[in-house]
Amino acid sequence: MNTHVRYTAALAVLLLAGLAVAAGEESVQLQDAPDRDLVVARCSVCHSVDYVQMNAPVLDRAGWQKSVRKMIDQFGAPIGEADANRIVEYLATHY
Amino acid sequence: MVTRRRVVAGSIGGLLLSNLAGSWAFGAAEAAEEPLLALPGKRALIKRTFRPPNYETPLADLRSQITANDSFFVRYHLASIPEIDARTWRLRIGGASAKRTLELSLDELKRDFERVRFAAINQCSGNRRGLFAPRAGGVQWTYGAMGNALWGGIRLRDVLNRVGVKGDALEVVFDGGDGAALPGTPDFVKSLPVDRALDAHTLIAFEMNGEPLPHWNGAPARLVVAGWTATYWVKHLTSINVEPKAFDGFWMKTAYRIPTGVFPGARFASQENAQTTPITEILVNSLVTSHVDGARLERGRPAELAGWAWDGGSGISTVETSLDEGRSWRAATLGAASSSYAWRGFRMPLDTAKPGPLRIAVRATGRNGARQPEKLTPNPSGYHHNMIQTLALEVA
Repeated sequence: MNTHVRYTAALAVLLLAGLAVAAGEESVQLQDAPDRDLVVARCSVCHSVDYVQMNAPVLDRAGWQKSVRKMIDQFGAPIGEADANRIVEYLATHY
Repeated sequence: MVTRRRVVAGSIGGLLLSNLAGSWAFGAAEAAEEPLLALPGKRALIKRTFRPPNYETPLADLRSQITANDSFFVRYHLASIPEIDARTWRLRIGGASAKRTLELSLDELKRDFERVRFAAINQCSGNRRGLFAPRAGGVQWTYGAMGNALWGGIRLRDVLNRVGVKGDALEVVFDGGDGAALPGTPDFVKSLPVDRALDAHTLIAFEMNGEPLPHWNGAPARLVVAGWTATYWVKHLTSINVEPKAFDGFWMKTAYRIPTGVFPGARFASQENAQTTPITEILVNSLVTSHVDGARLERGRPAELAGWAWDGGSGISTVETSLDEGRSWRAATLGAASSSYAWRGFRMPLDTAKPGPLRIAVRATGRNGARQPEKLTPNPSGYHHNMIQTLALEVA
């Protein structure tokens, strides 16, 4: 699948899961790189991924790590250790 | 998508005033393009995030005395936002320190209590967070996570007195209809000290600028806590509970906190610890709306600097401008204040006779003596940005 199709597919999974995606949100495109679809699938459960772009100038690797831990520990995101590490790696590398 | 180039007031470095006397830094930097997008029922606003929706009012829409409902900023923490039917909506008032429990419809709230209306600033705690240095994580607001509106409703204290407040009451706890996607995410619930809840300027509001509250601003009823930052102005109110103990939810105990003893403003004693305390009152501040940093003025053509000044309710006593990097200050002309919680206009003619740079600093002082600072007080969440605004204009 090309980038857009895969991205759309990731959002379609969210829609099938009964989650409301905001109008226009599909226009947000994260950097195409390994684990991008994992990041989109996990983070988009609760929020649009423009949060990633918005905080890119603010957060370094330690900041992304802290942010992902906050989502898991305080906001109850059901993300295991392995996926959390992959998400942090993607964010720290590309944002 | 509509986009526009926007000149942020100085690079982050340029915004910082140096510690060295007389060496203020001015300078303009081009910021990234920001999308202007319209939510249903709103004009195009600066989109910060799609979901939960966070939209900022553009400077152009902050030039009127009253900020229009359709351009008023939108701020949510959680993405599930109910479309509430005002006819079936009920507000439950009770709690362990209430003598009885009531459930009231919107019609009963409107009919059974005295109606009040006044203008007040509604300002996000993190307004201007995007201008902080060092930078702070969170929604990267610039100037428009605020507005001045005419709030209509009833006094919270009249409703609390109807249920009866017991002598052991410590806090009043507010919940709204918005919720999270996941069950493990803390619901957005806020509390106030009981004395602030009983203040005459704390309202259950159902009107904004003479219209029913817009959906994105809390329909059918929201809390108005005049003088306090917008985190307390709970939208889509569903329950109000008077309690004998400090509320320990995430949005009180962990979020919206500042270092203890560092900032001025009312204390929230029941929520305070040695390290941190809840943000409370809006600090004295001002905003130039007539010009943006880097603007060019035509030589010889009359020009006037204008904007707004406000604080947490003491009212504005003076607004001053400096053209010599803070060595001397001259009082601007103040407009009328419709309420001490509203913003107050200021005006200052600009001398455009000579070509060259025109470096302007603006500072406001409240009737309580508090004045805008030359430097920011760093804090992890980027709250209380009220540093003196500087603009570098050019006469040509």
